[in-house]
Amino acid sequence: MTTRRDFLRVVGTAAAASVVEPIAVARAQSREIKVGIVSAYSGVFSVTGKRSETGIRLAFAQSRYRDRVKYFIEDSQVKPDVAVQKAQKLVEKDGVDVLVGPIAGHEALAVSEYCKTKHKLMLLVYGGNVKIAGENCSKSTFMVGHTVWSVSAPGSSWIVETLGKDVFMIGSDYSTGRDVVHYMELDLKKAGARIVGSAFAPFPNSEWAPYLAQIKTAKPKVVTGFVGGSDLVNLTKQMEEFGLKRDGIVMVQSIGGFSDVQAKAMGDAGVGHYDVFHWSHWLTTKENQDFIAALKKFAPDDHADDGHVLGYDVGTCIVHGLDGAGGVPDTDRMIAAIEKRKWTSPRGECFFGPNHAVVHPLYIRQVQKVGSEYRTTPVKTLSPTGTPGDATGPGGACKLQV
Amino acid sequence: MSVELLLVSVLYGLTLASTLILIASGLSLIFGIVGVVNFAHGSFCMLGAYVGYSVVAATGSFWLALLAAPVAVVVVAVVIERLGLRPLYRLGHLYQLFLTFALSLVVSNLVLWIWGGDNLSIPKPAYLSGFVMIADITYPRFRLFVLLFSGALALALWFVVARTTWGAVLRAGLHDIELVEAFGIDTERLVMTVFALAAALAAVAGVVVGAMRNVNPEMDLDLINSALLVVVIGGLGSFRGAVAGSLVLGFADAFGAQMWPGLAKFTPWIVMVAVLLWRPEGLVQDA
Repeated sequence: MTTRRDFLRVVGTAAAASVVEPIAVARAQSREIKVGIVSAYSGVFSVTGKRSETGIRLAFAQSRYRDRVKYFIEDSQVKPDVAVQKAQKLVEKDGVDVLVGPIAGHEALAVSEYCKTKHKLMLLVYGGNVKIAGENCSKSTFMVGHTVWSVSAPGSSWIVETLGKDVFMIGSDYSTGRDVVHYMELDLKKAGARIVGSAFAPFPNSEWAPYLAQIKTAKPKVVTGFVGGSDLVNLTKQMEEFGLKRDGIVMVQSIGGFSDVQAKAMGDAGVGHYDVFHWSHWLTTKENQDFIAALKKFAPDDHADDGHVLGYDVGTCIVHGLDGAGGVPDTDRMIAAIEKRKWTSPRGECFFGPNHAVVHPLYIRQVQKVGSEYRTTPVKTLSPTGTPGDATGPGGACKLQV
Repeated sequence: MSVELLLVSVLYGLTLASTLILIASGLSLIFGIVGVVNFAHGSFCMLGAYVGYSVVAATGSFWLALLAAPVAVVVVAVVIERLGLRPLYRLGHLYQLFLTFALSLVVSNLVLWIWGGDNLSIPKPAYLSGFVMIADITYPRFRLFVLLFSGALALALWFVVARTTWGAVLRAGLHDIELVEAFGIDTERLVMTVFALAAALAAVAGVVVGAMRNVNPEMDLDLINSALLVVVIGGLGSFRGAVAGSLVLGFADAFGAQMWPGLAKFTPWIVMVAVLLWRPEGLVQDA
């Protein structure tokens, strides 16, 4: 038999819940959203860190969360141990809701493993370590930018079909250079290429004369692989100075080495060479043009670069996750929303594979001179590319775990 | 190794050595006269390269850059010497090392702040671009210019050090600066002049390297590493040692990458260890 007291208890509880729950939800929906960014803010990579942060800020500025977002910024110094320390500080002390991960592959992997243990949502702007798309994949990590595989090996067939079968492989002698050369060599051979030689130069390396002599002797049609940062400027300039360009030898750099800024530093020496990448300032799509115009307004001194674009994509992914979670930074609901996201990025159509690695468009870009300006212009659109997360994938088989 | 490869390697080794002489001789002379291992010496080169870039961007004149960059860097170097280093000469080497190391970090961040972190290139005059054919090999015209220009500057420097009165005072200072002071010579002025000369040469090298390669905020590390290797191999405090060390390092770099590609990164260090085991004081000992 229900007593009067029981009746009052039930009614009282229901009444309290009906009042308190909406207040709690409203409070959660209005509380600040803490975004932690652990990226490169010192040294030469600080440019990339700042550009990607600008992209993230632009995405939030265009969203309904613009007044709720609060940024917590830490410098990873491009060192895995520092990156993990800073991530720990952001997660455990500052209590960030979502983390934007570091830019280099080795530090991205380290921070992803840490986030796995904390079940903390992390999105990567760069940090294209294939292992994060493979055996070290994580339910809470999304590779929004690319992997070193997805912006290198898939360009191999085009190289053989368009530029020639005799290929010289060149790489900077560190993990990315070695990995890219390995992946590309496999796919180039499958496409019928003859590898006429290969060389790895120390990283960094300013002087390419000894390697250029080897290339010249091997008589390739194409030089390809991955040479990092300012080394590529030196290599390209010296290829021209030592007459390799005159001999008709073309370079195809992976991972978008010939950005507009790099092309400017190379001058005429870069003109005619190619790279493989998922975005170009000179894509004529509406989304890209709108993005460039918005960035111009938001950060007038910046020339839109891939750092901005990938930061922007990370920012819109976080915003999408928040929308899917009802405006509340709930990790599981945000992950569920981001997993299903298909969006038109300034790069083109993008979505996530089952291993949380982005499937993105892929372009062959050529350095061209238009007036006095050097542009990395898309000349061929390849099939959209994602990094396989099965046993055939470059990073091994992915089993998503929390 | 084919004759072509041999010739390219010899020319490349000489070109590299000629630029290293400009950088390392200043570093070595500063050490010889005041005992300071100037860690900021690479920063002088980098600053020269950036100033050179700005001058060429503003005026289009490479030659003006070659003049303006040393002037600007000498001003900076003299200020550093007078206000920063001079009070520390009587203290231990460690204080000077810390100060110059800190200065190199400051300059590096200043450069990032002023010019940004993107790679830049100093445009070369059109008549120095392209390449020439030498006995069936292709060699960049600008590199030949660098070889001749840096070689001429190194010769001029040798003449000043070895054949002039000021050079005699300098050489005496390298042996015993206090004795020079006892003769009534203004040694503070001598030290400042050596510092200014070293900075000027470093700035010229910066412009030349910036046109030959590129200009970036990390080039100072690359250059100071090479310069330190040169002075250790050649002998600290010796101009002739800097020349010898530059030649050894230039050829080690040129032939190392050809003969032991997998060890290219370590070749200069292996050479340094070998020289130190053979002659711990370096190849040449003037002081």
